[in-house]
Amino acid sequence: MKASSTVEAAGGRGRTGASLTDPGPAISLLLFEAAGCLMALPAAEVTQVLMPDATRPGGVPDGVDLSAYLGAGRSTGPWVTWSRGTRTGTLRIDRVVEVMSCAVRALTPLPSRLRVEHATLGRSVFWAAGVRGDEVFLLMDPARIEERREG
Amino acid sequence: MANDEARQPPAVPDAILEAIERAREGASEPQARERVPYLGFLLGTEIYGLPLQRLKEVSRLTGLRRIPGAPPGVAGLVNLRGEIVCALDARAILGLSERNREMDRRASDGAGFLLALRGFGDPLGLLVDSIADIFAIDPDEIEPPPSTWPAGRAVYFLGTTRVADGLMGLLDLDRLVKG
Repeated sequence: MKASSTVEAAGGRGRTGASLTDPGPAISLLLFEAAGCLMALPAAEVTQVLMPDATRPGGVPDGVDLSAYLGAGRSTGPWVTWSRGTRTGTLRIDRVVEVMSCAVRALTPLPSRLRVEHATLGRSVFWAAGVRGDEVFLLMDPARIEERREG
Repeated sequence: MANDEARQPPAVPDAILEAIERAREGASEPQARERVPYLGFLLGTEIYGLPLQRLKEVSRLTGLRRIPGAPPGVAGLVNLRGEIVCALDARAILGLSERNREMDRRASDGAGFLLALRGFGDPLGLLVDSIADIFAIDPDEIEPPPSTWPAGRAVYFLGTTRVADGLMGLLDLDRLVKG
């Protein structure tokens, strides 16, 4: 049985007339688990979530197993296809958690110790962190993975 | 669960929290011979210290988010009441072995504490096993690290001083954070 679903892209929503209590612009994020970690992608960039039991012409998607890429075993969950302009790619993850709206100002740039100057293969794919309840999640830039694959 | 509760480390004593608060507010108590207050903490059975003035707060460690591919000195990220703190692994930086860590974990029977630091660009914290006490250290009584310590470890210390619990290593926080 084909079991694919498309995540609606809410995207960033600008606001005007901000007040002191106004949370400001928000971005819709797809939260998921991979490599034993809670991660997120901008929902506006997610074009499809293909469940692991889905079949389609051509077999399984040609994508990147995110857990394996980050050196943490293998992912067994759905494939997430993303798109940004003319660029596109597919990541295999462990589990989709939810789609949530997050105030842009609630996102924190990744600490300097984890950014580019210290980057190796895994570290540079994250560019910010946020919180969901008490949990910290990592906002990733999937294009950086594709760049490394192509490079 | 009862077992989980039994494994919880003891709470930070009120006197320690109050001392940190006083240091944060810049209040100074008259100290004989201008002693400097240090927070003593334990990694396994060894005692270490850092100046209270470099501490923002001490809290029980919960919700550590490990980062795939992070450097060995970085334990992960912690949500400290909405602020995302980069937690440094003091054990890894000081070169304390995993074998000792496991032994020490059983010995200390606790999950550890986060020492939130001040004076750095990013919100930073230091993971430690448990809190010992506040010590008023006379700067004149600080001695160089013992020559028996490996050079790679000694660089992270301003010196050592003798306290009731043994020899306390006084951390050079700036050097430790630099990694």
